[in-house]
Amino acid sequence: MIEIQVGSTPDEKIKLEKTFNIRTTINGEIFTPCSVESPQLIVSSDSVSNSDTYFYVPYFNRYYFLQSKDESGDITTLTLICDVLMSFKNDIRNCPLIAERSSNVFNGYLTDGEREFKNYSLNQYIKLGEFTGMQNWLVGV
Amino acid sequence: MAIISLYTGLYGKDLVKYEMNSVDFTSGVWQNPETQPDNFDYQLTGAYKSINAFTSGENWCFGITIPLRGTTYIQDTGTEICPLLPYNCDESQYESGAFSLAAQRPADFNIYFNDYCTPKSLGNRNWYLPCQNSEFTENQIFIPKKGYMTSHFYTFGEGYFSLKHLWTFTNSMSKNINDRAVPFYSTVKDSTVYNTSELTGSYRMGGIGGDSIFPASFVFRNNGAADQQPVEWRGDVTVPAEGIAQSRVKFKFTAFTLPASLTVKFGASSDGSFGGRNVYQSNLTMPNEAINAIGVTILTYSPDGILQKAVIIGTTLDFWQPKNQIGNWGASSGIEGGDGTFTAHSDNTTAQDVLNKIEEKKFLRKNWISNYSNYGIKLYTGFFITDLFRELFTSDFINRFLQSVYNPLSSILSLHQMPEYYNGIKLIPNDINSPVNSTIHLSGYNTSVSAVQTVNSLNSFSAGRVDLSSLYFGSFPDYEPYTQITLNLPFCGKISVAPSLCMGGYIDIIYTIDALNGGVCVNIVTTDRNDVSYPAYSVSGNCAYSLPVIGQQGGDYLKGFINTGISAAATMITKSPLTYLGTVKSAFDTVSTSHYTQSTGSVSGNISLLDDWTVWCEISRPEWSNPEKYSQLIGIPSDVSGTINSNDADFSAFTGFLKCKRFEAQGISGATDKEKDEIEKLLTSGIYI
Repeated sequence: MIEIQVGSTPDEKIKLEKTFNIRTTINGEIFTPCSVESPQLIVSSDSVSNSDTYFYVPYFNRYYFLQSKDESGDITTLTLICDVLMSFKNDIRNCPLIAERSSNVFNGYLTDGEREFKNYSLNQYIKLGEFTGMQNWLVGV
Repeated sequence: MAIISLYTGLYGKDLVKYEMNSVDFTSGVWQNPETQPDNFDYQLTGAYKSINAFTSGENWCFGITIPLRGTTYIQDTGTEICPLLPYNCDESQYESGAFSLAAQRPADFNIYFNDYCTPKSLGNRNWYLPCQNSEFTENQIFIPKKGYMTSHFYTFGEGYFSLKHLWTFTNSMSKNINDRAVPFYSTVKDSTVYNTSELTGSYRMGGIGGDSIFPASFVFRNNGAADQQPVEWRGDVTVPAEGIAQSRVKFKFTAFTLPASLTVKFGASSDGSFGGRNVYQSNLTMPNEAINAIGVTILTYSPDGILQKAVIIGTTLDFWQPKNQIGNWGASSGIEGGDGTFTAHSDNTTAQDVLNKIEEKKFLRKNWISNYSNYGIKLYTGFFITDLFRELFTSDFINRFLQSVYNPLSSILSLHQMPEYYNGIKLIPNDINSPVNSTIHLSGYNTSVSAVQTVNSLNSFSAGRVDLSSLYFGSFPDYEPYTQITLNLPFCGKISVAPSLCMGGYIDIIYTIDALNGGVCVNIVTTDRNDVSYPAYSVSGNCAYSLPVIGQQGGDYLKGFINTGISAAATMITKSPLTYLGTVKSAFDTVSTSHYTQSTGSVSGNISLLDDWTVWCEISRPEWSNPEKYSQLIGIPSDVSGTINSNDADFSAFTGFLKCKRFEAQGISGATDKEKDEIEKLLTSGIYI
């Protein structure tokens, strides 16, 4: 019997650190054999609701998305898939990287192929000066 | 101690005199950001006020008394306002340039001038600069930077005056960090606050009397709060291999918050003892509360502006370019835009001492400009062309006889018209060294045609400056191929200027006109965002409308005369003298109508004169579609290494959208290989932080 925190998250899957709205903590059994990346957990049907889409399993120390749910009478089998971002968020923050695109750390002088330009251009005219008048005749001797 | 007096007021009226702060002219502070002169620049700062309101179109003039060494004679013409000539000056020591004041009269200013008159002594002298006549509407006064008073363009009644002086007038010569004057031997440049955790200052290293040595070490001192002990950091700086006199150093202070003040010292030894050299010290006050800074980045530059090395105290830093657009540009709120203003700047170009800039860059030597008078060539204007032709083809017997053997027409090198003004400035001034009432002297033949002799050397002037220092985008579309810059140069055509040479800087346009034949050469000097100037382009053309120089074949003319004269002479014996004269006179008249045997000139209508006479710059920029949440959802190209918690450029954390070129997850403990691969896959496709 293992402890399972059930709830939901409003955040997108690709968000590193998610808000976990825990509804409750339930108990369940691990369906063996299983992988830690994608475990199957057996819980009582009345312990989970349709809104429970996000889980934390302390035994695995991982967060999971709900991949599928199979109900069979009083038993519900939850097939989960690991949210690797949330599960290893602290380690991920310290891993070496080279950023390709970023919202806040960037170089505006690198050409951005994602930019869309309009077909027309903005034209600016700056007048610097003007020649005027006509010099009287000049004769060079 | 000497006294500097500043004279100002309206042309033709009583000048108002202001006493400036006196300066000991045995020493001075070098403030020339471009080159280090052999002699001192005397710096004078002060506030300028005038009791007379200065409006566009009014004549405005001022002069200055410059105490110089020695007691040489002073020329003073009395009540008439005119420039004074220096005596016994070495002309080759001087340079000249010109620039215009801004439209607004500055509230304060610095005056810099060189005393190149050594070892000759000059004494005190008054310099006056009568300004433009009523035609002048741009508040422009041409005050070249340095030089002595050479031949000036002066015509009675026209009011135009251009002098080549020893001094420079500008309303701002240095940028200050946080508006605080830096008591420093170098000019503070390029101070930009990126965000609350950064402050960048840069210094051009220089000194007096050759002591312009780039320091080998530095000390940064965090003065901290009043109850805190100051904290110092010491570090070594790589000294550029050559040209250290003009080396430049930038400092980038990175901290969560900056110290209240910072003292920067430079020395020549790594142990901080400075080896007995001069220490250049400045106090920089930061805008934020005082806590310890966590690091300093030092960037060193060679004299030509190439980044040499970036060093950071405590940690190493990959080589990075200055002015990297790193910061909170485009936060998750969706507000886009970096340092681009997205506004087309107004037409505020001013002409500055571009000639002097070219001179300093050794691209155009004044000595190359020829003075035709050295070869006996004269240039006249202010005459009636019909008078000239009537004179040349007079029916006077004696003169026509002389013309037959010595054809004065052959001495006419050019006969043309050309534009008279540029922005109200006369292109071909009259030569004041010539007699006021002159007549046209042809080679070996003096006419009675009144004329004014003009300056017949090449005349250079600034046609304007395009100010591109304010970027439109502040990012890649500011440059080619997205942005295109075109200059319309009258008499020469249009040219394209590469944005990479001038974006973030300037385009200076210098016209050089040959008065003798209307030849035009235009030099385009670009200055990029790193203040690197370059004579990028030059074009040539012609602005003269020429009449054919009728170079008669003297032999044919003479032949025609002789033939006619011989037949006349044959009857001479049988004729009375009066009849003879009349016969020969008739011969002249006959010949005079038929002696145009050949034109040696070219009929030059000069179609370029029909072109636009306006110097203008066209900048064509793209318009991009800029969704509100662009950076939030898709990010902006980065190419920065580090970790999510701390990037290597400014040590801030990545936030918002992040997509990695490479992410190394194999070091994550507790994750299976499959999970590590999944992590790397997600980070390289993009996540939100």
